[in-house]
This record gives sequence, C-alpha cells and structure tokens, in this order.
Amino acid sequence: MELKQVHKWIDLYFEGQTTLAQEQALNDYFSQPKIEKSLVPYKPYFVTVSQERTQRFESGFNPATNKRRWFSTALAVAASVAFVALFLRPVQPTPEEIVFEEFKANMYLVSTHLNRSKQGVAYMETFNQTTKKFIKTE
Amino acid sequence: MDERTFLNRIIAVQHSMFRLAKRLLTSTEEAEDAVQEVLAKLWQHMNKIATYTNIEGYAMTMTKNYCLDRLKSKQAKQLRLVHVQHDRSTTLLDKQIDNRDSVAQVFAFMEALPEQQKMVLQLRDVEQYDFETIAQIMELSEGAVRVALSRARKTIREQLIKAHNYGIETGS
Repeated sequence: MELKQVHKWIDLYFEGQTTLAQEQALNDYFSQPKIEKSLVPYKPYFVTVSQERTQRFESGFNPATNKRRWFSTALAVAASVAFVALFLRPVQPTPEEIVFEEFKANMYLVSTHLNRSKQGVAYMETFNQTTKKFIKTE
Repeated sequence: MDERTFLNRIIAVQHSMFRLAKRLLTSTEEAEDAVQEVLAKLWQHMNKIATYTNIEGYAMTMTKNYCLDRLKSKQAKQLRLVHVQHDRSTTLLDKQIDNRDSVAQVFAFMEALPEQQKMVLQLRDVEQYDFETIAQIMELSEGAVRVALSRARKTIREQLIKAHNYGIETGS
C-alpha cells in the first residue's frame, strides 16, 4: 500500500469514516515491521487490537455441565430448605413431655439443696474435729 | 433448531461475546461467568431464538445488557475496583520495560472511555462488524454508532500521540 494512501486513510480512520476493507488494509500495514516514522505513534493501537482479537473463550459452553450445575444448585437449595424446616420448626410439646420437664426441674432443685446441706454437714464435721483438738474434755 | 445447529452457531460467536464481556467487566473470571450465563439463557430459549434472523447479533446484545447489569450491581463494582488496582501495577511494570509499544497502555486508554464508546470501539476494531450489525447489537441508530466511534477513536488518537511524545521528551 502506498504511503500517501496510508496517511489519508489513517486520518479518515480516526474520523470514523473508513470502510472495513480500508481498516483491514491499515491493520495489514501496521502488522509489518517497517513503519514510516510519523505513523509510529499509532502502531500500539493496531497491535493491541489485533492481539485482542486472538483472545478466546477458553472454558467453552457445555450444555451438559451447565444442566448439572443447575441441578446441583437446585439440590443444595432443597437440602437447606429441608434442614430449616426440620430444625427450626416450632416444636409443640406433648403433656407427657411437659410433666417430664417439670419433674426434671424439681429434681434439679432437690439435688442443689441436698448438695448445699451436704456441704453444711461436712463443715460441721471439720468444726467438731478442730474443737476436739483444742478443747480437751477429759 | 436442533442442539447441533445451535451449538455450531454459538461456537462462532462465543469468543466475540467473551471479548466484549471482558472489555466491560475487566476480569477474565467475571467475563467467563457472564458468557456462560448468557449462553445458558440462550440454550433454554432455543426454540424461540430459532425464529430470529440474526442469532449472533442477539447473543451479543444479550451479553452487552447482562454485563451492564453486572456493572450496575454493587458486587461487580467492588470486584472491578480490586482488579483495576491489580492492573495498574502491571501497567507500571510494562511502562518500565517498554514505554512506547506498550499494549497495556493502550488498554488503559480504552478502559478510560465511556461505556458506549468502549463497546462501539470493541465491536468495530476488534470484532470488525459493519455499522448495521453494531447498531443492531447496541440498540442504537447507525448515526449514533458512527458518532460514538469517531469520538472514541479521536480520544485514542490524542492519547497515543501524547504518550508517544512523552516517550521522546523524557529520552527513554
């Protein structure tokens, strides 16, 4: 391509007035190693653009894996809903359970009191021993 | 349309979709997710899409809209910020290695353009679509596409010349 033409087209190009064919010609011009000095500033752009064009969608589309992905998401959602339903459901106790809970609470009360009095007894025993040591009753 | 025809037509356009998504979302992972999502949607509505004349254009429009939605959502904004910071460090490094032919620098110029100009530039210069197709994808008139393109290219030209002169002045 003639240099004069390149200059003309590059001006048109930046005005957005070039056709696709002209733009392809410019691309070809800038892909060669020897470029006229005044055109050097534009080279990075054409290099970038042609490099960009080689980028590929690496992972590719696979409808099978995509369906499976949908399925697993659905499964996970169902599982979590079931979990919530099972464990966060308000529990309605039966009369037997109420009685049992009341009995349990009472037994706890008894046991704490019993423990406290046991401690009291233990204290009394130590008191007796020490008094016996100091106050001799013969 | 059977699955085979669909896949063949999609294979032709999926790379363009990915490049557009990447231009808008910046990050490769985000772009891949976006394309995967759009393709899944197309797959689901295969029978409806079969009636369209320009499936490739439709797929590109969907990609564009999906990415713009992603950008609007807060989550994408955060991801983008992180990525921009990451980009900047590589740009600096590239500058040190090679100031004039730096591709990363041109990327930064393109990145700074308004979204519409960015997309038009991408569709024309990278994908090499004609104005009619671009207008269809962008849901704009051809005139508006031409205006956006010339504005984008003018900005790029100014920045290219500035960057080039800067390189000469500093003597690097």
